[in-house]
Amino acid sequence: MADFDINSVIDVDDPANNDRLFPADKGRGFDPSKVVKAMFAPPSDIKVIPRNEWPARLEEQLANKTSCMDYGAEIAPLDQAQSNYCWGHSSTGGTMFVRARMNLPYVPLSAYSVAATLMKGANEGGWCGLSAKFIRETGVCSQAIWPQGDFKYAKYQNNPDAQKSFAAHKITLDFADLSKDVYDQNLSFDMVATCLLLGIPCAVDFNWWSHSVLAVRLVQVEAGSYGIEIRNSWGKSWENNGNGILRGSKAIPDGAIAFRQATFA
Amino acid sequence: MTCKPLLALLLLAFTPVHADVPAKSSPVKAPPKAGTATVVKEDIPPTEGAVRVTVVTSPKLTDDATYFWDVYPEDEVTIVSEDANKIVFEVPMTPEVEYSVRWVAKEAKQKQQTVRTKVKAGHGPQPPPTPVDPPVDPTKPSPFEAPGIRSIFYFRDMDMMNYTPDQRAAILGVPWREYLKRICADDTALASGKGFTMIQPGGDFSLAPALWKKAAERPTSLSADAPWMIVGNGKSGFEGPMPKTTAEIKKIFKDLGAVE
Repeated sequence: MADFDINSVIDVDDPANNDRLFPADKGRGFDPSKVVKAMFAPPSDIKVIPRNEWPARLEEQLANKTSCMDYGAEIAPLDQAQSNYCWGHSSTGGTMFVRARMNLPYVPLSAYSVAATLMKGANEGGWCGLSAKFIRETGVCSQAIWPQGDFKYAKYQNNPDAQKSFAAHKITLDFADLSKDVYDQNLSFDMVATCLLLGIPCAVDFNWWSHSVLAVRLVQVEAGSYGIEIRNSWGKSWENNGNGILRGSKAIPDGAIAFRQATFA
Repeated sequence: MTCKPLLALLLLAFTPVHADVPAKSSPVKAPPKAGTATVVKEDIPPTEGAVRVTVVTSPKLTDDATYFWDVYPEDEVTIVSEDANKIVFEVPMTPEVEYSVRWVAKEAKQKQQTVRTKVKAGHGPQPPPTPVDPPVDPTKPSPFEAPGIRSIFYFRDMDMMNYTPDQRAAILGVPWREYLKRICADDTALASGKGFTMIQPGGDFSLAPALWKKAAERPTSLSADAPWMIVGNGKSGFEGPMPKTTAEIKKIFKDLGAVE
């Protein structure tokens, strides 16, 4: 089942890959310092697909083109540049993919509208749980109104067009462990895998990487070994058109939110 | 009726060699061996109501080989025995089911190889034939008050694993969406300007154009365990559970005047 570029599998333990994972000209911004390791109470609605079904389900997904990367092929990777707003980009990317899942028009969304509003313009790190909460409650503005890279949140606060755009791009259904604080909301790897097999994009935070990205597809790297294809927020030039594959322990998220439905607008 | 044990096996498809791509750090030192899988008959077991299937692969593996088998769907499959080149399993006599059998093996210094085959096993009373009457009642009003084909597919993502592959393909699959783009009416509210959407019950249509809001908010009785669809052409329409096959779903659209 080699439906991916093997060169996209990143051996994160190989120092030679540090330039791929920690490029000097790209920011990250997920803050693992507040993550508290604890017993995880899973969102009870997720019916985890047993691992022994994964190969067949992946085959079907490949044959019928039902993955996030299939229905969301049109979506261009976001670029956080050197900001610490990765955590805003992962959830914003998830919102765009879930809109594609619903066959809603492709609207490039501004992750800066989420992160800069939450941080009041400060260039600070955060978590996907925080940005997901904001998008759930307030929404995310289109890039046409709030361009990427713009930290000046105040000028949009009373902008009716911006407010209208925020309201039109909300997440109305997700999997989030709301019993936890935003920095500690997580899904297990198998839950994320289940979501990906069902075409549900997941924002995922990684402590080891101090980074938050969007999981878009489950990948069988080799027999019995699975990884996740991620959509990074370092533009199209990173790895395989902005996507890479994480595997092994480095693919197990420390924070995760699954995006399932957005406002019809 | 006494059901005489019968065995109906049919080799449907065969993938000669599907070698998984090796990890980057494990360069291939020898070309992959060509592998084959053969479905063979086995004696009818004494267990009443079951059939036994044997799949044999070749070439024979060496002693240092590692391997595993899997059979899907695994429900009600009982593995009788398995070794490096042969698996024997039993499945219920009824109904007939197509099973996917996969064999993954690796010998030292050889590239991993994967062989898949499909086998239909079992037989018995067949389900009643699908009604041939067109499912669309032309007297039913269209849920959409505008000319042209439009549709809403309702699904519950956590139940999708229990849907048929065709139903899943109709909800998320790109080829199906390409079909819908060819037949649906122009509609700027949706991607590619074509009038169809896939949503879960309880979707927020508060900001949707009136046409869609009205269609989505009309009383409907969503099935608890099946995807649901509403389709209309402006005059007549269909509302009900999504059929299990693509052909049946397409027929609904065709009955409403869809032309590819």
